[in-house]
Order: sequence, then C-alpha cells, then structure tokens
Amino acid sequence: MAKDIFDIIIEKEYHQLNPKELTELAEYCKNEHEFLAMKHVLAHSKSVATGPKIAPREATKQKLDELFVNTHGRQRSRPFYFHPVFQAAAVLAIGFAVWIFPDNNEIPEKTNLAENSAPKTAEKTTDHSPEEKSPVISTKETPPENLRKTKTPGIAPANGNSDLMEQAEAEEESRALVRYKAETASEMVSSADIHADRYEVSATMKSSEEAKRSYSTVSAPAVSVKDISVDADKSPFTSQPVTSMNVAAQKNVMNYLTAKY
Amino acid sequence: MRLFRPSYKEYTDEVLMQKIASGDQRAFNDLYERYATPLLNYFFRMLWKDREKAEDFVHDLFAKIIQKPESFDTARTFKTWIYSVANNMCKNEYKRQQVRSGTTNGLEAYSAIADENVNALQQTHHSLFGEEFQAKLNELDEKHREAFVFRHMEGLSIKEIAEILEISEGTIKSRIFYATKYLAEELVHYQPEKSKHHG
Repeated sequence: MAKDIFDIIIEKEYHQLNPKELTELAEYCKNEHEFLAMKHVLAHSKSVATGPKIAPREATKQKLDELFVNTHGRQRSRPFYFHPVFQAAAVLAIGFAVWIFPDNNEIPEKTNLAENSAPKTAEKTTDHSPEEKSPVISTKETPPENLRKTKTPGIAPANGNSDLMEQAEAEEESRALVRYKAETASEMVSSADIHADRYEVSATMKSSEEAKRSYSTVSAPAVSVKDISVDADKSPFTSQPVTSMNVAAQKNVMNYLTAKY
Repeated sequence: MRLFRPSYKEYTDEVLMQKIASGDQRAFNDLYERYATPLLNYFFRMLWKDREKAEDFVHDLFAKIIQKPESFDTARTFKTWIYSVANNMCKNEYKRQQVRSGTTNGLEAYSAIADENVNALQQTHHSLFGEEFQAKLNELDEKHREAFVFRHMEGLSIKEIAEILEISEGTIKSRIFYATKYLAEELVHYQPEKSKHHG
C-alpha cells in the first residue's frame, strides 16, 4: 500500500518533514504541537488496529454452516483416489517398487549349475512340442505305422503318399505270403494242431489238395476281428499288432491260400 | 498443466465468491476465515463495543452471502463491496437506534456512559486513553467516523475507502484529517508533553 500523509505523520518527526509535506499538512497542523497531538491519536489507532482482536464465536459459524447446507445442499465428497496428491503418491510408490525389485531373470555366468549331459537326440525325443503332442498329423510327416496301415474304404487318400503306402502294404503282404508259404510247406503236414479248432487239419493230410477240400467244406474264414484276435498268437502275423488292417491282410492271405490250394 | 490444483488459500476473494455461488462450502469456509474476524472487530468498534450485536451483524452479513451470492457486484473488489455492505448495515443500525432513543444518531447514550469515566480517565492517564478515545470516536458524526475507522482501524487505503463510500479520494482524505484533528483536540490532555506542560 502506498504511503499517504497519515503514514508520514506516524513515521516522521515534525522537524523531519520536507517543504512539500509541510505544505500538505499546513491545512490541518499549523504548528508542531498540533502535529504531535495528531501523531499521538494516529499511533494509538494503529496500536488498536494491530493489537489483539476479538474472534467470532463458534456458534456463529455453525449456524452459517447449517444455513449453507440448507441453501445449497450437502456437497458430495470426491473419492480419495481422485485426489491428485494420492495419484502422485501411487505413481511414486510404483516407481520405487520397480527400482527396488529389479528383473532377476538373468542367470549369473559364474553360478554353478548342473548341466544336462544327455545327447541332443534324446532331448529331441523328450521334447514335447505342442505340434508333436497334437493328434493332428502334418501332411509332411510320415504317419504312424498303425495309421499308415489303416485303410478306410470309400475314402480317397488325402495326399500323394497313399501310393507309397499301398505299395508298402503290397510288399509286406507278399513277403508275409512268401514266408507263410514256406512255413506251410514245411510244417502244415506235420503240425496238425495248428488251427485245429477251426480248420481241423488232419494229421493224415498228405497233399494240399486234400487240405483245400477240407478247408472249403469244414472250416469257414474268419469274418470278425474277434475271431482273428482269439487266435492272434497262433496266426502267422503274431509279430504285428492285431488291427483291422491285419484282419484284412489275413483274410486276403486266407483267400489267396484257399484259391491256390 | 498444473499437477496440483491451487489451494483455496491461493484463490482470490472474487473466485471464492463464484465458487460459493455454485455451492462450494470450502470456498465459503475460506472466505469466512479471511473476513469474519476483521468484520467482527469493525462492527464491534462501530456499534458501541456491543459484542452480541457485532456477532449478529457478522452472521447476517455472511448469511446474505450464502443466500444471495449474486448480489456481489463483480465490477468491484470483494473487500470494498463487503465493507460497503457492512457500513450500510451500521448506518441502518444508527437509524434504528435514533428512532428508539430519539437522539440524533443513537450514540449519545453510549457517550454519556463514557463521560462518566472522564475524571477517572484523566487520573489514570494512558491506560484509560483507549476508552476515551473510543468514546470521542463515537461522538464523531457518521461520515467522519467511518472514514477514520476504515483508514486507521481497518487499515484500508484511501482509494479503497473512496470505492466503499463511493466518494472522491480528496473528500476521504479531508474527512480523515478532520476526524483526526477532532480526536487530537479532545484527547490533548493525554499527550505526554502537554500533560507535563499543564502539570
């Protein structure tokens, strides 16, 4: 606040006034005596103004607060997390947590750790990737043996490997046939107990013609998986698992043998 | 963008009034904290040191702010506006007292009480100077007293007083000088040098 003539009266003595101030005061203070009288009054006023003051009573404020609520309604307080100070504190806390708990995933080089000495091939076999776990077989991979031998009638093969599969089946059948023929030639006559319950191969059979006739009249070809599975351990294909493929192969062999002998 | 909103302490009186008009009670609390004590002391001085009356006047003034915040003249500063309202309340009270007592300005009754203490004041010297000062102040006519109180008791500038009373600064300055001279002449016997001279 800019000083005015009253501040000058309070701060200065009469003999300290400059001509300009004396001129301004001349209308109200004609001499030093009047100047001192005014100075005394103003000094007291200042002491009153800056002195202790009475404070309003609490009841007055309470009545006003009630009036404010009745007039404007009660204010809804904001949630504490909307307060900017809380938000800043939360950011600082997160930053501090990141700083105090650094990423410890890296393994120190000098740490003594056990090494897996298994060969890499073994790792590959034990490594179960999602693709290998999946029952879906990739078209580029070789199907398992049981699936490779499975042949669904009426459904066309899904890829070009079917020719190779058929060729392999044919070769396998031919090999089995040759092996069976050799075994039959040497053992059929003497081993009368083989397939005795079905074929009733007589121990006295001397020729294949007789066996052929006996088979065609007495025995009947196996027509179900169960029939074959029961004698699976007696069949010439014991080394192979009993599957529908094997049944089909056996049927083919039996038909072939029936037709031939 | 500021990270933190400014505290209510940083808001100007005028901004607080806008918030009060929108129902912000914190703004009202802050404004009350700023002006309740000065206004209570102003009423206390202007209304014959009647504490109860001063409290009632403070309540009525802030109740007006609560109920009719739109009555605040935004073209003026809040300080000068609220003191002008307070001054008008005092004037109305003077008129009421004048009607009741049949006196000229309602102050004579209080002055009479003060007059009883004149002799005691003269004897006890400076400790009672304040009481006689207040009594002589009350004897002043209204326009001189309000100017003097605003300037020397409430600490307002001459410019602010001119805005409150809506008169020129020169007139304010003249009224203050007149009131000061009157008090000085009436209280001259309390002046140390003068007392010595008389003694």
